[in-house]
Amino acid sequence: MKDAEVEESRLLQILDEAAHMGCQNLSLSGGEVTASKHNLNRTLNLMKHARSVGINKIVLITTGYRLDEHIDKFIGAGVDHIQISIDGLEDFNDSYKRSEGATKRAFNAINACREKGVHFSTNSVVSHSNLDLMPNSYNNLLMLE
Amino acid sequence: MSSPRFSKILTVDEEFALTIDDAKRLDAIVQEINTFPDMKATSAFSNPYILEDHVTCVAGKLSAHITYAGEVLPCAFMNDRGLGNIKTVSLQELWNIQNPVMDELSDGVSLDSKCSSCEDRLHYFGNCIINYEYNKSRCKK
Repeated sequence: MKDAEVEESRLLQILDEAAHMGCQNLSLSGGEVTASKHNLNRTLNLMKHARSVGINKIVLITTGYRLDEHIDKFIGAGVDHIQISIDGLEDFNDSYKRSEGATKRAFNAINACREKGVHFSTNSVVSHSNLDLMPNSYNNLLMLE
Repeated sequence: MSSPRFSKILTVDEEFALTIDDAKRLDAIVQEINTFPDMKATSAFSNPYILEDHVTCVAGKLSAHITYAGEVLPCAFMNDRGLGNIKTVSLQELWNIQNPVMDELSDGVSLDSKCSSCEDRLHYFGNCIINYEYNKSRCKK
């Protein structure tokens, strides 16, 4: 089936190929990787394999959904950098992500990264409808203790 | 070289699309964030590296995107420019493919003359081919 997910064994081969071609960076993103056991395990396996074949810059892109629970697993798998998406203030971000509590979870993820010393950044998809929220959105980051 | 073969242009709801003023304001916000010692911000419009008569980026040169279904795209936003599927073809073969898409990414997309002389070009498209194609289609200048 054309739209079916690629088998994990094939993805591992692709990482071998990519490393052979000189690939140095791998970014992995969703479906939200922390939202299901399937996504989580697959992502961890890809990270570990990428490390083992010499792809040394590994980035995880996440909403932070359940990152605080799983961060040790990602560290163990060799993540270098975690990018957490926050698209505005709480009401907007929760509604944009269609998930009540999404913003609190993102901040839990940020705190988990800080506690564990994992390099992280946040990213926002800026549009005409949330541009005005950006200054206060980054102010909230600045106010983190 | 123009790009008539790319008929499908990314569609964005006008409610969400950044205006030129928005893009300039975003720049100002990014600069303000960068006055704080512990934060560093960038935006899609932060990169001032633009060429005079064409637009080019890392897509298909230094980076590729693979979808969950195995389609290889030069960048995540170029879903009209699939190179093929890794389920059946090797990544190396797709990456080295000789076709108009890869040729254009390699050479860069030539700008219309009014775009190459536009004073707002950094905020309209910077060095992003997708932004160029999208904003060219909606520009009223």
